[in-house]
Amino acid sequence: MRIFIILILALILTTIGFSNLFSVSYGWTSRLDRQLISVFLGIILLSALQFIDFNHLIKYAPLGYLFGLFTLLVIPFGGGKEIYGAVRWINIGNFQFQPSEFAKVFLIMMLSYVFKIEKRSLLKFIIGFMLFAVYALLVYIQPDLGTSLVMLAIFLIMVLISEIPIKYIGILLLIVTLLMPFGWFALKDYQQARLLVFLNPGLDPGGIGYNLKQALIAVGSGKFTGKGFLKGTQARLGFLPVPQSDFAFASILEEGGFRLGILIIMSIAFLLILTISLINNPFSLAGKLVVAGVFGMLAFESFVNIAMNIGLVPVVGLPLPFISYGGSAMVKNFVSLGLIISACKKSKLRRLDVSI
Amino acid sequence: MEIRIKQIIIILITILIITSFAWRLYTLQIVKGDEYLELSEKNFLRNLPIPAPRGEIYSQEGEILARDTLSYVVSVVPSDVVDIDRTVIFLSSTLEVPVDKIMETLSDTSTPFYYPRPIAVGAPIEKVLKVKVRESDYPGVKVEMYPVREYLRKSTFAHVTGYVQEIDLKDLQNLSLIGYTPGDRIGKAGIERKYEAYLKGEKGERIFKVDASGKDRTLLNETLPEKGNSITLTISSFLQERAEEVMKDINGALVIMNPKTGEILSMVSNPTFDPGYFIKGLTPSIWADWNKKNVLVNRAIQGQYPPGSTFKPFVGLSALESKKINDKFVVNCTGSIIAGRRTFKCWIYPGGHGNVDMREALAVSCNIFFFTVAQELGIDMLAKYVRQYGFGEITGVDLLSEATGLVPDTSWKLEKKNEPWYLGDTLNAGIGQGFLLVTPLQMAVMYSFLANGGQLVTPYLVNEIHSPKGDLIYSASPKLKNVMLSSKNLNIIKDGLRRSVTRGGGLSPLNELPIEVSAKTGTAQTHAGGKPHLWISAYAPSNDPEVVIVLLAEKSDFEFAYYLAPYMKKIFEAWLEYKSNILNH
Repeated sequence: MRIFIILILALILTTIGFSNLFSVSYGWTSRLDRQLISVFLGIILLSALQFIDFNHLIKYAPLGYLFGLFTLLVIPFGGGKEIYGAVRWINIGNFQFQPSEFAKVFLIMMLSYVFKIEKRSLLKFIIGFMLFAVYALLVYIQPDLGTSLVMLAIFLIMVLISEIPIKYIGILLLIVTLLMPFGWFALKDYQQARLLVFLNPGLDPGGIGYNLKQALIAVGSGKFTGKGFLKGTQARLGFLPVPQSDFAFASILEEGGFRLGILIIMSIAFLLILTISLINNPFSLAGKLVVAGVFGMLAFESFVNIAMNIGLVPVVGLPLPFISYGGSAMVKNFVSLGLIISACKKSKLRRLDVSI
Repeated sequence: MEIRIKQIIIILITILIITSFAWRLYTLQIVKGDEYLELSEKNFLRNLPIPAPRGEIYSQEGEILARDTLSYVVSVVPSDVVDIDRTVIFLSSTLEVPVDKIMETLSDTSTPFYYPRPIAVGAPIEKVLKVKVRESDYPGVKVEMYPVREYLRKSTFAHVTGYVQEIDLKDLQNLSLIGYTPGDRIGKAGIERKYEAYLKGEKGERIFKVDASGKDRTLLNETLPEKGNSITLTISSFLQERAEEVMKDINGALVIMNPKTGEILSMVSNPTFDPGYFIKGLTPSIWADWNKKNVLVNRAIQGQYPPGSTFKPFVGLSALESKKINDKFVVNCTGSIIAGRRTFKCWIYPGGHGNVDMREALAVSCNIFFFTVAQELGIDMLAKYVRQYGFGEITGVDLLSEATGLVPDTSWKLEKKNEPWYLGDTLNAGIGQGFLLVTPLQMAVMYSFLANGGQLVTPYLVNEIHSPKGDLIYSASPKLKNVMLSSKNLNIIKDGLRRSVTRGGGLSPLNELPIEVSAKTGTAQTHAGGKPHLWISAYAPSNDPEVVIVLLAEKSDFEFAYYLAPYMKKIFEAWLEYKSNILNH
């Protein structure tokens, strides 16, 4: 039942995102075709996952991780396609896909696998951290800070749910804090600038703070009822940047207003709470960890994207799950829901199996 | 830690984050919604004003003195320009406008960069066509038709109509609240300034929707401009033209006025200027010449001069009214007077007039008589009376920047000059010299006061205002203020003024006219050896005056005022012709 509601909520969010895509594209364009194909592909993969035994599936996690590693490595070796100053896409024939999106799923699977088979806590933690760090670093150099932060979120929440002592996280956080000043220098110029602008929006109103300012105008000007479908001026006249993906939330709130905004954040809240509530269903630790990882991924992406749209965190290029335009992300979202369903289903069938 | 506890903590954090989002949405969309809506509208709405045609200014006869005509204006929208250097060079070479001037106009930050900025107004059609055919090669360059002011009679009515100019920063600061925007025209002087609110009309507006690049424009709404009201003056084209002809060699001012109503039939100030230069552009050499000659000053209302002997009737009237003397009062003029311990000589008529009474003293303009009378009165009493007759205060004519003139008294001198008042000052005041100052229009009002039997009249230039549809929205009515006065005393003065024409002296040319004229000359010394200001103030017909004429020659080459009598005669002839024209219609 909960799974059913999760799917319904996901479809509602997908529909809202699709309507927004229609609005900001000024009607039906090839982008909508692609988005629709991605949704169908995602749902087909989600359904297909139901026919594969979860415990069988998890055995292929190392293979998946290696495949993900390969696709991420293609980019630094010149196989990628540059969009918006970053190289995040790979072309295969007519199709483009974004390896970093699928890498998140491979990471969730791989961490579940490792946390399950390795018994020693410290080793678990160190191996897990290494697996995460390799992916995150490759994504970071694309450059895609947002996705590496998502991976961090996935790693942390899975460590939290696994039986690893929480003090390890504490120690890790301590090391990170001590390295923070060096971290500032590791940030790219534009990332430093974004952070500074966020901390002080008046710093550069015409320049880099422009996106933040226009997003706030879009959201605020929607007022209670919104400007109406196809009537958003901020998004449709080009004042709001990337209104189909990173700033889709602002674009939707401009046309749909406070009412629709509340509907969306409530839907997301229910989707996330229902997801985390499923954590007791899978009997295997691996299943629990997959649920936790998917929750971490969806929660972090949703929270950071919305917070960025309403000026609560710096501008970070993260899509809003199910709503933002982007084929790879859409497929990834439905596949990750498929994994949850798969994990829960298997546990019911093997309720009496205590060997994990 | 139990997994269930972790789960609950995660759920609580999720709820907390979502709640903070809801609160933030409430703040942005509900609390500050209107503010952001306004910001979003500012983002995409562009308002471009459409200038309104100004109303016309007509003379009394209905001749158009000032009107708007459509003229070609080459303008540039800075935000649309692709290649600024190429565009500026093209415009500069085609229109012969200096590069610096174009750059200055384009980089002016007081208007938004999407506003068209005029580069050339009313340029010759062949130059405009050269720009027009290349419009598409130079994005941002536009050739449009705009209303442009035209002054059809050039310098003849310049000081009356005034002129319009593009609004300057100072005016803009004061007037932006009532809708003025940069680039608007505004009346800068004369009727154009005083009646700006009536003449200007209502600007129209085009509202465009633009995208973030500002290039793609869609017209959302258009309000058409409304034409301003038209103004009909009391000034007669016929009289003004004739007066200008008479005055062509005289620097100074001329006012022709109806003493019963205050209608100004003619107002001339020399030297004059062509207001058209303000529209098509002033060259530095013309501007320098104008500044040197002070051409923009309307001498009829802004020029202040000592009245000289034209003041004597008011000294006489004050003395009679104060009962210090009566009409039997006689002075034996020997050509000099001993006042205090000093002897004052009459430099005009040192031989002496013998026994003179008030009427004779006015007729011969006897200085000794008025020295004596002034001494009897004292300055403070004199000042009190002449102020009642309107001296030292603006006339209230419907023009701005009118000068007040000056009536001195003991406290004035102590305050302004930090000196006591001397008897000599009183004697000087008695013959209209010294500190006294009067404008020619004040003089006309004063003589109207004598002419109409003791009523202070407010002079005016605007007779009627009509809406663009032709509805009458304003019609002048005479404003007269009665001053308590003995008509017997007034008649004594008027007798004197009539006799100064009939007695056969310098004013005798006026006696050749087919009507009875009363008049008084005034020769006001400026400084020792300087050229005098000359006055003739006159009214006619003497028994029931219909017209007052005041002529002032500033620093004249003539020695005495009565040399102006032939000029005055010509003006009376013009007025008689004007009057018969009216009667024949």
